[in-house]
Amino acid sequence: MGINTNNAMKKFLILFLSAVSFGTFAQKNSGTINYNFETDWLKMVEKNKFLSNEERQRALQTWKNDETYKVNMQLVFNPQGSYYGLDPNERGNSWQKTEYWVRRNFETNTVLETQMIGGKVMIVEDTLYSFPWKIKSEIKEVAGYLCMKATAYDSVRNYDIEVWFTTDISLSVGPEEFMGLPGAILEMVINDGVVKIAASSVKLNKEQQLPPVPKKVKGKRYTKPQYANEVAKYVKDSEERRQMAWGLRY
Amino acid sequence: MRKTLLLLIVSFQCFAQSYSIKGTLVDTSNVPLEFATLFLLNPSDSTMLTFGRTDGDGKFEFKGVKKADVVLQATFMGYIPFKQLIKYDAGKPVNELGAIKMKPIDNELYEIIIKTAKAPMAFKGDTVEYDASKFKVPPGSTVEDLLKRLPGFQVDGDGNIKAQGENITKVMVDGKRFFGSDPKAATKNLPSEAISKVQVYNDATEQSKVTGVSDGATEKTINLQLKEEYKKGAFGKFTAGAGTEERVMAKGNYNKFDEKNQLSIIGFGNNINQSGLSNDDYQDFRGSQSYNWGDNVDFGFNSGGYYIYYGDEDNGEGLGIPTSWGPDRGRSQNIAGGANYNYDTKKDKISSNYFYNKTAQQLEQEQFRNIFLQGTQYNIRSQENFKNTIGNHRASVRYERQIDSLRSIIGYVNGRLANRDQLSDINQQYYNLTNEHFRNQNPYSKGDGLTKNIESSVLFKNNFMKKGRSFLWSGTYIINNNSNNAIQRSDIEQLVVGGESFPISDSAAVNINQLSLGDNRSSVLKSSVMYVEPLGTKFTWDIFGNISRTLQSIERNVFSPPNESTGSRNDDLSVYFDNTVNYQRVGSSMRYASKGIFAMLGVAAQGIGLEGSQFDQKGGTKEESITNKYPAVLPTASFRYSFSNTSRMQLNANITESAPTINQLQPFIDNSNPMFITTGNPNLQPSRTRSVNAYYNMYDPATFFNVWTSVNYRSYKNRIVYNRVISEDLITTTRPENIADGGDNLGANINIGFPIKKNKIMVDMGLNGNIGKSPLFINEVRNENNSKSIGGNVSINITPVSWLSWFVSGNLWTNRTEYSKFSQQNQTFHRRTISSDLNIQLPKKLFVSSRFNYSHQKNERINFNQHLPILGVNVYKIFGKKNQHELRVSGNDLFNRNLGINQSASSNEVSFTNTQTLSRYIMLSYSFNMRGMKTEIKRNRWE
Repeated sequence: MGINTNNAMKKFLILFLSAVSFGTFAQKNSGTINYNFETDWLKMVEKNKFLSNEERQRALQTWKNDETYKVNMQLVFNPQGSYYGLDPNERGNSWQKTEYWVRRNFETNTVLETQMIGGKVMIVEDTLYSFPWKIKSEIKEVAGYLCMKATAYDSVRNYDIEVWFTTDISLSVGPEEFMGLPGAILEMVINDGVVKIAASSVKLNKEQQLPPVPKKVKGKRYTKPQYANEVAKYVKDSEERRQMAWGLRY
Repeated sequence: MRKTLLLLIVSFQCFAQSYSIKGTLVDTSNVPLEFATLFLLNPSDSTMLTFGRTDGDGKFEFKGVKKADVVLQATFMGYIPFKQLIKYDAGKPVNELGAIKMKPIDNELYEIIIKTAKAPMAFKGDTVEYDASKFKVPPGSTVEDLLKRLPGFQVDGDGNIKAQGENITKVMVDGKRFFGSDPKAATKNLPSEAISKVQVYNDATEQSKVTGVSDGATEKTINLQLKEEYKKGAFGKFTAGAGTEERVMAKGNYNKFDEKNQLSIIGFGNNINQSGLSNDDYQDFRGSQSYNWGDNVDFGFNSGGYYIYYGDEDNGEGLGIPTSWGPDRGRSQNIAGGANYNYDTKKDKISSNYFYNKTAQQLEQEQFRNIFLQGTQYNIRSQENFKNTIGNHRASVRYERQIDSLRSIIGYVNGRLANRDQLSDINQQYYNLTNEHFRNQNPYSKGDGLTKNIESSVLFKNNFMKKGRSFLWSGTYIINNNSNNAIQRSDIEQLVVGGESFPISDSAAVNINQLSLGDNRSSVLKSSVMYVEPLGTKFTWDIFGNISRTLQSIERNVFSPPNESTGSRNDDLSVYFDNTVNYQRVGSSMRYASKGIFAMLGVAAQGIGLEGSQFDQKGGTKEESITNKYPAVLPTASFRYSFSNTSRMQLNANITESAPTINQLQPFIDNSNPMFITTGNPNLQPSRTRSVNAYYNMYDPATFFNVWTSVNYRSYKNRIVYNRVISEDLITTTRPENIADGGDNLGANINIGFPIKKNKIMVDMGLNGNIGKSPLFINEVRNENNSKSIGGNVSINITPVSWLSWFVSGNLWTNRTEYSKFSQQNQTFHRRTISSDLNIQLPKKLFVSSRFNYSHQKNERINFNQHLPILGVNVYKIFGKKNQHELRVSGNDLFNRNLGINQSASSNEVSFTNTQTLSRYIMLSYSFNMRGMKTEIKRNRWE
């Protein structure tokens, strides 16, 4: 997902979202959200600026019947924290030894993520962070919840991020690296639809527990700015080779 | 408790001098809205500064707001979002906004758009905008038809539109007025498919826009936002060139496409050895049907050997549209053309195409062969001239239907009709051990043939609600008919020499003049089923079955003298062979995949049954019957382990069994070259191959350092080899036979890549080695060829700046062949090559590229020593506003040294062949490309 450089980081709002009790809202503070994570290869080709006009159109024509890549993700949350990762019912993957996940702790205001650049695992550990969101006057329904639109721009990866969040779930949570809005993010569209993450179901459960934090997380530790720096380097490297930054999670 | 203001405050800045904003949210009847969400936004770009909620009384307060203007946005379910700029007023430390009234969204509109159409609803002040594509109208509908379905719209019989109760007086398209003032012009004429969004708002009147003075009046306006039209268009490309040595070429293609349809035509003609389409042209021609990976109809793991298929003479001539990598050998003239049409929707995909190509290839080659026997040896020098012309008509139809979300069916028919003409004229001179010229022979053959080939398949796939569970079924019917006739002649002349002359014992057998008529027919009916069941999230189990029945008949009639009459039929060489092959296989495998580990274990039981009958002629008396059954149990195993996400290893082991081919089994004698006779062997057993492979690779994404290494071992049991019997007069008869201990082969290679300067200079280095043993009987004496080879290569990719790329590489390869029975013939073969590929972009879109390849091949034992420098240079300029034009001068093989070279050491002979091939020519060509040329040089050597 999108990462910001140091520079952009400074503009971030580091939101310390204490688990404020909202009276009747309190019971909507814990549960599980299942997401469909869909990658559209064709959109990716369309956005690949390193192809000539002819190459791009040829690829679009040749692969137009290809299906999008779909995977189910899951967000588990309660007022103490949240865990986002692969849906436990997903089939095993024999190519990746380490899986991507994001773990947030709202009591200590910290985040722990397994990020990867070209398959190399980097453990990011830092305080909670968020993109600077712009709030739009648009509404729509996602998974039975009325959502509002917010957008952000990833200045390193150079793309737009569009999210739909619901204030009915008052905890500031979301898929991937995204949070920081007054409610749960139920849908997001990255770079005009290259990646679309949409909630398929929301199950609220007062007793929701988080999966236990593994005792040992293998991998070199990075702070958010350090990791953002690595990403920027990788993007620059790829640009020099006139290639898309394939090694990054989109 | 409920009076507590619920606030979330930006904490990273503490504003000593800040102000507060407070107020109350109420609806139009002054009922407070509780737990509504409020945002403070930056007025310039709507960036969220903070947010909060109203309490049970609809009250809110933002404390510590920075002393600047902010936008307050309030949202509440079922209400139009409220937005207001709050000016900072230094005189008000607390800005009390009082009661803010929120307007409810029209209930009908809200229900239909949000709940029913699941479309987003956007608000710009009072303007409501929504995604029109979510409202389904039949194909071909106009915008008017679409508007009729939209909530809040009414369209009367004359096409007058009312929205939210008001008459629409203005219709805009993409914010611009559409053809004059009649609002119906756009709605009646534009197709609804072209629209992405419909917006309704109150626009200032024309008068106020012109005068710049607001008269306060507004017009109810519709704006239709058009879809991006990238999915519709046409493109084409045309190139023509002429050069020295009478070289000419032309090619062109044109495509027209929209979301559902793709139509393309293509054609080319040349005499520069390009017989097939380039990969790019192939993709442009076939479009979305270029690669149908899912059309495999033979399920189950690949343990080989169940394809018993009559391989016809025209090698590599399959059913697919021909593509080619580089220029062909020899000299060829080519013409081709075709049309392709694809229709693609989610439910139905239909594709059909026709393609014709004709290639006339001329090969002039010189061959040297050194053949050794127990105690002696001889050499043959030959001058060979081949002319082959083939014309192929190809047609295919494919239909794919998505029956529902889980089931799909695919059916296709591919056909080919080919006409062949072939001429082969060879002059051979035989030399004995003391290099005396003792014999001349000139085999000659001229003939033509016809191939008809049809392949049709049906493939049914059924997935289930349970993810990963699936059922597949396929049925295939293939017909392949191939007839040919040829005049075959051979004359032998013995010369008187002092040394060995291997006198001819039966001159009638070696001097031939005959007509050979061949007619081979085969049909295959086959079917496969497979069921896949996931067990938990880590295991997958599958079971499959394959069954096929192949019917074949081979008719060969030889007439000598060469006229088709019963009196001249040579009954020894004429034969009719009828043959049935039944194949069955059942197998099952279990796979495990999780967190970097993959393991697969499978076993299959297969049976191949062959029944053949040989007759003296078609419909004649049976001479011989062959019945063979080859049952086998074949295991397979594979294991892959990832040390990390960037390094992994893999181990594979399996046993495969290959049944003999019909060519190997059919018992007829091919004497078309009477000095080199081939026969089949009906008693052949299948050959069995055991193989073990291991791979390791790693890649460091930060430094680009990478390692690829592999080791593979293969051993053969009952290997089918071509044993040779060489008579006193040097007539060589080869016959395929099984060798129980069929030898083995061990190969290994390692490749390392690393940057010297990241993204600028990249180095790849590799080392490979191979040791192999292949036994063979020569005059019933077992001989083993032991071959050892070692090779090394270095390549450097230099891409320092965007306008220059240079790829250089060097290659060394040495092969040692040792013979157990002819140890004096042991020999070493060397090959060295250096190549350079330089690409430069000069100013004004002028490009220069050059390819230089220098190879040196040497084999001292047969005095073979060849240096080949080949240089090609291209200079081209791209011009025109859209880079659509290109003018190119290409110089091919500037040193005029091009030759096709082939060197081999096998059985009891060593040989090399030099083929005359297209050499120096300079060509001037012009290209026009509607999509524009690529204006960058290549960045990697495979581009």
